[in-house]
Amino acid sequence: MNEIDTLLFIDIIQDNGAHGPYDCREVDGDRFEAYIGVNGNKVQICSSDEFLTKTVANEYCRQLGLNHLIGKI
Amino acid sequence: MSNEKPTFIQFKKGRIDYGFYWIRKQEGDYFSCYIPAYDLYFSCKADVATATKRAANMVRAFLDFWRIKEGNRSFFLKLHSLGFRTHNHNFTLKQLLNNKNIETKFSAEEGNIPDAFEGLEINAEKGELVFS
Repeated sequence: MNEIDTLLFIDIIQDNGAHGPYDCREVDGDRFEAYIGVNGNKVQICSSDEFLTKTVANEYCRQLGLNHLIGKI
Repeated sequence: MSNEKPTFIQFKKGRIDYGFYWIRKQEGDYFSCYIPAYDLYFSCKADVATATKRAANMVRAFLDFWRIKEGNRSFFLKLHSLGFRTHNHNFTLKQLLNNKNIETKFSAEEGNIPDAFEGLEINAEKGELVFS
């Protein structure tokens, strides 16, 4: 399976130290949430859909400094 | 792809005009997408119209987040850290950080494209933010 449930992904990153959502906003029907990574980066995550591709989930992990999760999502 | 560089953000009185690239990669029933200039990722159902709209919405949300939530100073510093540069950059940036209202245009190279998105079709979009 190439996708992960979006809410599950958010639970995982929060449990691994990402803070947030620091900001939530909707633009034209799409939902975006900002999280603060363990490296201090503010990362905008698109949570519009039920699923995220693992490619995108892994990139979110890298941006959030959660490198130990890359490839394990 | 043309030689035109559509990645820019232009500050005018009461408005911001901007342009950007986005790249998509099909993975099963989904697209994984990347916007290099702003280092933004998103995924969506594999439909070009949906992805195009979401790319525009994501950039809009990014600009609103940094401009409104974080404030002008953080916004300009974020643009600098992403690689955006303007004419006489150091002087202009310092003016902007000191709350001087200057009409200026920043542009950026497309940045480093991750291996997963290398060699894929690049799409160009433009948008505008108007505020009072």
